[in-house]
Amino acid sequence: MVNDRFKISPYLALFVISTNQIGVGVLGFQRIIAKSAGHDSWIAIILAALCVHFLLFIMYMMLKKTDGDIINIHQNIFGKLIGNFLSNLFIVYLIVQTILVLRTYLEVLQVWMFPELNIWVFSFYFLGLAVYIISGGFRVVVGICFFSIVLPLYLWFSAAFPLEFSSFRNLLPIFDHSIKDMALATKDMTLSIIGFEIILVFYPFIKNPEKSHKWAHFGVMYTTLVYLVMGVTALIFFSPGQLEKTIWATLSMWKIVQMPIVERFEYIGIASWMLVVLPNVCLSLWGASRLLKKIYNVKQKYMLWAIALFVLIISGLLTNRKEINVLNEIYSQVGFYFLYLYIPFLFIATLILYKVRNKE
Amino acid sequence: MKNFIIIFAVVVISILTFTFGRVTKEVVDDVNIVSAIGIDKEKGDKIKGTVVMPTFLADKSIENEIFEGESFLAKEVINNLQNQSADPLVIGGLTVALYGEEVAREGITEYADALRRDASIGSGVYLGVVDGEAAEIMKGSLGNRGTGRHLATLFEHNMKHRDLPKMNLHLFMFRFYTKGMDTFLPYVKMVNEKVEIKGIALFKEEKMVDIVNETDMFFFKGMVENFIEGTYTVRIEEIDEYASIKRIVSKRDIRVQEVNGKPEVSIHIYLQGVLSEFSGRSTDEKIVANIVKGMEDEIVKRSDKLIKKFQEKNIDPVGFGYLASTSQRNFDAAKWKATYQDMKINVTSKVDLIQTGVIE
Amino acid sequence: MFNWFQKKEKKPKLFEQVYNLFKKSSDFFNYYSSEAKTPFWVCYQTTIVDSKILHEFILPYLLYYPLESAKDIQRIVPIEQIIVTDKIEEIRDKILTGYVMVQLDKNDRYCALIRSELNETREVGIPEVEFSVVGPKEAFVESLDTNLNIIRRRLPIHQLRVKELTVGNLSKTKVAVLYVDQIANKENVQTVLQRISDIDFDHINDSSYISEIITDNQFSPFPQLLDTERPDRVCSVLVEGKVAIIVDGSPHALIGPTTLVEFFSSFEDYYINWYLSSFFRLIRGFAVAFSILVTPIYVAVLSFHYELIPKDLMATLITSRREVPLPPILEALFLELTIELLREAGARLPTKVGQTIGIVGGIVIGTASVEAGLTSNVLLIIVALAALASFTTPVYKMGNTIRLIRFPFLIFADIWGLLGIVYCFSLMLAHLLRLTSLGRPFLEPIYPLRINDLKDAFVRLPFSKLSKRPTYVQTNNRQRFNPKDAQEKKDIDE
Repeated sequence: MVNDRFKISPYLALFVISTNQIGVGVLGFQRIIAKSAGHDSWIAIILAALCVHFLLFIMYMMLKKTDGDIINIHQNIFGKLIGNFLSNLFIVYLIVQTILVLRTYLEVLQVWMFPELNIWVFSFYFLGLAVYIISGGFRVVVGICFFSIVLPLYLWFSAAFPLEFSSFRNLLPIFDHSIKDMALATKDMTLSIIGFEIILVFYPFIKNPEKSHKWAHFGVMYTTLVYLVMGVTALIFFSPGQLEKTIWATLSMWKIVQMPIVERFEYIGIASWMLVVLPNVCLSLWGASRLLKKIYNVKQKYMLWAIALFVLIISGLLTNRKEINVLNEIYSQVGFYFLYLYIPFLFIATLILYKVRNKE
Repeated sequence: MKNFIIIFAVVVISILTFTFGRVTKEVVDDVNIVSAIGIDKEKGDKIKGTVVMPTFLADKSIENEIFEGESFLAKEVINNLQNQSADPLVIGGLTVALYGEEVAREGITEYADALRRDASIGSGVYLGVVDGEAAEIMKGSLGNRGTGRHLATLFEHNMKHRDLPKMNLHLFMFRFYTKGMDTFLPYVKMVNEKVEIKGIALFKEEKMVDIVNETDMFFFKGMVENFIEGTYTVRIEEIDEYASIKRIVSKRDIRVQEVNGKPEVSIHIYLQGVLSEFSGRSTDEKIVANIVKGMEDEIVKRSDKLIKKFQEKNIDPVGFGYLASTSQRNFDAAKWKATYQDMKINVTSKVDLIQTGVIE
Repeated sequence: MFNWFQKKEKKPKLFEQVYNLFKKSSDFFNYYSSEAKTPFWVCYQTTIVDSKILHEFILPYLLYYPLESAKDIQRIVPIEQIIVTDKIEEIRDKILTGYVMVQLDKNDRYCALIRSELNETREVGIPEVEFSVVGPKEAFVESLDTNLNIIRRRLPIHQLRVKELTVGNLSKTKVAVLYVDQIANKENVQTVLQRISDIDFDHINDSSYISEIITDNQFSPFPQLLDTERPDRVCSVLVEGKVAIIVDGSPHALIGPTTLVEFFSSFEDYYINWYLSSFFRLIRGFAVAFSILVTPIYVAVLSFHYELIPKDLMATLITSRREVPLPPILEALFLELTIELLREAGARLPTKVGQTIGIVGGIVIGTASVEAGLTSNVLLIIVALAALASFTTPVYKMGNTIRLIRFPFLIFADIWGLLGIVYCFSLMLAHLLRLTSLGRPFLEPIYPLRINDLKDAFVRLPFSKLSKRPTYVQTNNRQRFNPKDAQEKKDIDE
């Protein structure tokens, strides 16, 4: 079991959940959801958030019953052999998540800031920093999560500038899309705010984990607020045809921000975004290495180095957008089924299991 | 031994970082920052690009440096110009892009799109159409802060405080991509070595089709925007005097109704202003009432004329179509388009003079 | 001196041993007094014994009173610290710290050690490093006893515990660990005592030695124990439940556990109005950020992000850099190093000369390098302001750190521009998150977030609001005073 010294206060669940949901996705999710739901896609954000609340709720139910992490859940339901195998799949999922987050951020950097940025060198430094953070223990990882929410708070002000050039009429008429369109947009949106499943790994690291339940939900609410503000601003700032062509809508909106001392804001935004992306990488690296340690009883330190090296090599070898897109596509599909089919399945299985056990 | 390995690793990593990790520098005084670009038509498919950049002299005065080149593509022009320029040309500081009327009549969206595609260019760039050749303006040394800066401030203050409607790269693309709304740009001309705003160039899709005169700009702005400043001198026929009205608040209210299966539009313009100049002797209540009446009639007359012109050219810079589409569910765009040219559009107006100056 | 004389009488065994140990040192003095009522042997180190005490309070009593044994000396000589022993190690150590050894007769196995230490120390002066305009004007001195005396006078309570330890294989430095019993956390006290007694070092000169040896992370550029020369500050943190370490021979006390924020609070903040002190603290916080970031931002923006520069500023920047042949990074490094040189030269030279260096360096080098076209005047302003800002840090050691960590920021700014600055900032943040002070998180009260401690961190609320001791100290008694007694609720005109 986890030593009390390494545990975190329940309220910090807010930051961990929220920060893992907010990542590179915020920079360009608007186009993806507007593809199917157009100007009504802000409703999809809310619907997706409700889904996430529900999923988070059943995850918590499951974890409270099991009082452990995903490995315990798997082992309880499937037994040791199959359970561990499934946990391994989850580890792969986390590693792919790390690669995607890192690689997508690098792509943003290449497109918007430094076209000739060397992926190998930057990934090396980035992962080195992540390894340094994780070596400090979970408490330090959560600290980075905390600062990644607190320090970029000033970015909120950036949402006010595009309003000068916005037309609120873009949102009218409300509910102009079919249920199917909305469902599609909601699905796409869910994939943007994926990341809260990390609770399956760090649950045992919370002091009085039951108390963290409400904080986790607050975290999802904060995430929703961020996405909602960024989504609505983009919807009123761009016309539908324009949004369709804008890959990174949030960044394009920052282009209009002008302040007396800073003529162009997006460079500051992109650079600060590193602080937002860093905890995503840290959390999934930490989660993967932690699960490996628990399953195979090996030193987490070595696992961490091995995974980081692996991520470095893969992200260095992924050279063009096409390959990244393929990986992204697979990841999204897996993520979708994982969240909407596998998690409810696990939940029901856990419920039945504990019912049966209690009867015995 | 361990220390040796660590030192060796640090040295190798630093060398690799400094050789491969660096990105190209654009040191501010070692690049030529293009501040304005003018695009004109050449023979065949070719275009002629003229760029102007400020060079800063030791005594803090600014001189303009001009480069001219030909190509098929807008951005390619800049690349062709590189071999004329001592320092590399960079385009991130662009503030104004002007297009010759000939180019504008053939469509400028591809050029505007080129600007938007470049991540280093801001979206607050001012665009404009030139009566004649854009190169002429680029070559004329304007203002004492460089041509680009001069043009930018010219546009900026006319949009903020005068009769020019707000327009920049972002808004141009916004209008271009919005269904049921056509775009426009400021129309400028070189007169006596000074650049003058001569009116507004109206676009249909991507092609310039018509011009709004300087005198009608006041009313044009009243129709396309809310909340603006500007002055207009009206002749009050009943008393044969002139009154200059400075507008403080102007609001437009456009309603689309379905009358006998046909859409009917009514536009109401409300204007709140102050009397800034009056040629008569005294301003008693009766005269004020006269001025108000005169102004109201003028607004209706002029706006009506403008709208007739739009309908005749089948363009919609006010965005009646956009407003209709956002205020109705299941909006039939094709039907609207078919009926637009002979649609009934009513203009009404209301003027409030809230003060008549410090004397009576 | 009297060597020929001493040969007559055979020395007692114990005395002989001590004599052999010290005889090679020329300031060792011993003689046999045969005229006394009871003849006795005396030896001591002349250089560390106060001869006034020796001649007024020791020798007269020994000469004119009959003495039976060493125990009698304890009774007769009017000095509190007299030890009677026969252990050679103890005798050796005591003689070296200013005791006089007296042995009566060769038949007596024991000898008496009488303390007559020569206390050559300077007067209690005014604090020079942590100067304050208002508030007490006394600073610690090199003598441990004087320092303890100052603290005891400010905290006349029996709960104030002083644990004395001796560290340093060669220096035998006395180290006192101070804490207030029933307030200080036992764990903290235990950690400090444990770490100090574990010290295996030959020579402890100053409290900085102790600080560096017992600190949580020796490889960090950040100091993790607060050092201060102000007795008032030490007393105040003792009352908060922290532990203080005072080292003999050092005018600086160490305080732990501490936090990053505490390094940016001057103790004068508590002597002025709380609005003012809050304002000054915010200014200081801004100064630190400015001092670390402004030169790197200059380098980043001028090297990579010309788009960011406002159009009105562009002319100023470009004209000032027109003649400069160096890229921004070298220009910045050149100026930063110049400032560091000036500071270092000023610190090494005698005060009077140091001032001249400051003026000469500042004016002459600055203007000349701009005129020679080596640097731009904009950068000169920026670097000078940044240096000025770094000197606002109230704790000297932290100020040095602030100046040092600017350089990695500069290098990263030259590699990746703004991105490099954010990277370096993240690295610093991660490092600070990993740091602890006596095992307590260093970044508290920001992370972990403690609302109570924020009241006296970036701002200082009035004393009536500071009714609780800091959370991170984990004291046994959190309440400082009852806030309800401090403020009475009154209606108008009552």
